Amino acid sequence: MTVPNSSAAEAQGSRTRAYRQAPWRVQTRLLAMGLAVVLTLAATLSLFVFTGAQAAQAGLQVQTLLIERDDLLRQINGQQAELASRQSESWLSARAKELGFEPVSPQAMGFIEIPPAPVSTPVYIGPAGTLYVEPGPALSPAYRQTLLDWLVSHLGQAGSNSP
Amino acid sequence: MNPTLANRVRIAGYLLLIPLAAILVQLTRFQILPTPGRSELFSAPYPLVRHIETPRGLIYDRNGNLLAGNVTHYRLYLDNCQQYLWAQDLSAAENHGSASVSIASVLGELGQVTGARINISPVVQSLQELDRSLSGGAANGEHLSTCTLSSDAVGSGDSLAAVPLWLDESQEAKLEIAQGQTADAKGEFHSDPLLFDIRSEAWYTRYYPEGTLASEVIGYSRQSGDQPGNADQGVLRYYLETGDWGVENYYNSILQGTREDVTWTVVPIDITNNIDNAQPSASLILTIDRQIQAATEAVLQEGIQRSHASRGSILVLQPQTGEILAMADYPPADLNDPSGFQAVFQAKGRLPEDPEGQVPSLNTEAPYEPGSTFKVLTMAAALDSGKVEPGTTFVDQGTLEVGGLVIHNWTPQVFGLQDMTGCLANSINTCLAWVATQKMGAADFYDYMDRFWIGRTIGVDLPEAPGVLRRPGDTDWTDATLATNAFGQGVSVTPLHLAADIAAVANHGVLMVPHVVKAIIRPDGSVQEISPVRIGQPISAATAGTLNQMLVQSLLTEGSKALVPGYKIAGKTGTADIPPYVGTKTIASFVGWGPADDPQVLILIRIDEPTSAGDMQYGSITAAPLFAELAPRVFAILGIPPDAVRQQLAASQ
Repeated sequence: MTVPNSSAAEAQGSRTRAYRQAPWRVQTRLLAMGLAVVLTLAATLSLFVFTGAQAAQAGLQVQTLLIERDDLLRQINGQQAELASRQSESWLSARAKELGFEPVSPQAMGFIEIPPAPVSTPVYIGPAGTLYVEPGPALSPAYRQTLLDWLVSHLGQAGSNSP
Repeated sequence: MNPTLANRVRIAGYLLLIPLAAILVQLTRFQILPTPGRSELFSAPYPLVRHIETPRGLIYDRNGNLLAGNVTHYRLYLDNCQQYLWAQDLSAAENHGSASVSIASVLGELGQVTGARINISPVVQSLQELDRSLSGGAANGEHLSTCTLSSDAVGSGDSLAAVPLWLDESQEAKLEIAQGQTADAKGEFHSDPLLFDIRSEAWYTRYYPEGTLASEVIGYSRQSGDQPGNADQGVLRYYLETGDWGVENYYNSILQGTREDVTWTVVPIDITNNIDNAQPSASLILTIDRQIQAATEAVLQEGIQRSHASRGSILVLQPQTGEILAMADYPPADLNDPSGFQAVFQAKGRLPEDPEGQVPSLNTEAPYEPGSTFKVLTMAAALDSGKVEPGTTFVDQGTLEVGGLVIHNWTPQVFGLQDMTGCLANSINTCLAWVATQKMGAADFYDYMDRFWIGRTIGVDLPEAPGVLRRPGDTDWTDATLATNAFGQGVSVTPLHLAADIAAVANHGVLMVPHVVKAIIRPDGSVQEISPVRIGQPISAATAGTLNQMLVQSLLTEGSKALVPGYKIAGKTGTADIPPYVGTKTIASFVGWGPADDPQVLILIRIDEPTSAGDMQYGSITAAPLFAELAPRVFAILGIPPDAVRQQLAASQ
């Protein structure tokens, strides 16, 4: 079989076909193409539905976890306050008196030299950073971008990488 | 169609049917056989309006003791409010004989179950008034769908103001048991139909575990809904946290958390945005030492009661750093009982010229004429400018006339020939007036006053009021003003400002900014230390050393009641007349520091309007002994041994 050169192919394209496809073949092909499009759309939509459902489910879990976190935070704050009130100056003084202790007179105090000892540093139970989601790096852009955002960013990257 | 082609079409059809079937199966599974996670999704309120808060920053003393924390209180709402609010009208209209549940019944049951005190009649009346005003009397107008419950309503007619109802943790727990949300102690569940539509919402409120301790320093944060907020169906919701005074006020912007109502969708990206908005707060570590603060307050209270004084204050600070170790005033405010604040502020702010005056802090917001303690600054200026020396002599004749004003001493006694140490020891007004007017002159004197920042704020990290210093050129300034300023009259400073200035004498002439915050704990847990700030050096180190010795000597000469056995102390008493200078009311004060050779602590004591019985109107009788009581306790807490022990330890090293 010989491969027609370009001028021959052009000449062949301009010729009228000697036969036509049977109508049922054309219809079948169109039907198949239509079905393929419909099914592609349906598959895409179903993908969106499932992804959306998964996202919503994850969102609900996030909500539940945040509510749980807030409850725990409230408990921690309440317990800190309770603990502090049970260690307050007035409570400790009253308790010491109950137990028969008396404040020592400064004049009665003795001072002795002791070798250098490690100085205890107070522990502050400040707000725990891990309780909060830092803005920015919490979610990768993949979870924040729309398809259009993603396309634009990639096109931008491609543009900037080109010489 | 030939069979081969038909087969191909059939196969293609089957292939296309597979994903379709898969989709149908998945949709069926999703709708009919949901997983537990998706079941929750169906029942989740959407969108969810949620009150989110991050707690206000904590406040600690320098040793990590909590001074201000947060607890949860619960606000109550009644859903489907209309059917309860107009229950009687609805029953009558439907004419079905049986009465609907009224809001009064619900409130009565609520009070019984939780123990909350609810003044039912005014509360019902205020809610009905609110509903009428919302709807404008029209049946199809806007009505209350949810009622925010209050404990009382004050006022009358249209001006009824609701008093917020808050439940504490234990009351909320009782409500949850009654509503059947949790089991009781026996593990049984109940369901009270009257409380079915009651819903609670958790809010943080401030709690001060130490009560009155350091109330002047800490201040108060209004978080319980008693400041204006946003209107929601005619009911105010409160999103602002406002520090009234103290560090709660000064550091409000970094202490306050986030409080807002957000609409939460279940879309994760939106939830993340909500989290981003809820920025956490920072916490504070104060320079205050709880033990020293408690000792200071105990001594102050004892001194006030002993001298029958109206009010008073004590400051304890470290001269080298400007750190405030204790700051107390009397009467103190119970930070957990805001209803008492006004009476306390009035007691601290009432003056003969302003009987209705209110002051939250005597140490930082109530400038006063300090009297003789101010002589320390006058003498510092005179020595540093080289106009006098410790040995410079002055002959006291009991009075001195300056600019037409005859200046008297605190006693009719004539002191005769005195050197400068004697002038301080005997607190001779005429001597200091002579030093300022005859030896220094106005230009030098006021130049040094500027170096000590008199007449301006000193820059403490607390709400602060400036004192008053009149200068040449002011309409009401005369030569006599200079003379009286020299012994601390006609000039006003806050106790904190005066203490900071005199601390420069104890700190080699270096003036440090007094401060009350030692460190800030950032939301990420990192601790940012606050470095001491030096304002300047108003006098030389040599002058400071000389004056230090003079003030040690003057206390010894005087045989002061402020002397502390075992410790060398420098100090000065003060007795100031209170404007408008009528009657016998005085402000008795004492400022002292020690150990004099290495000053670690400076204490300034101010007692207002002590009784004149037993000469208690004088600082030397009323305030100086309080120093002798407090200083050794502070030395003991800080581990500063007596001079002899200290020198012995130094020699052995």
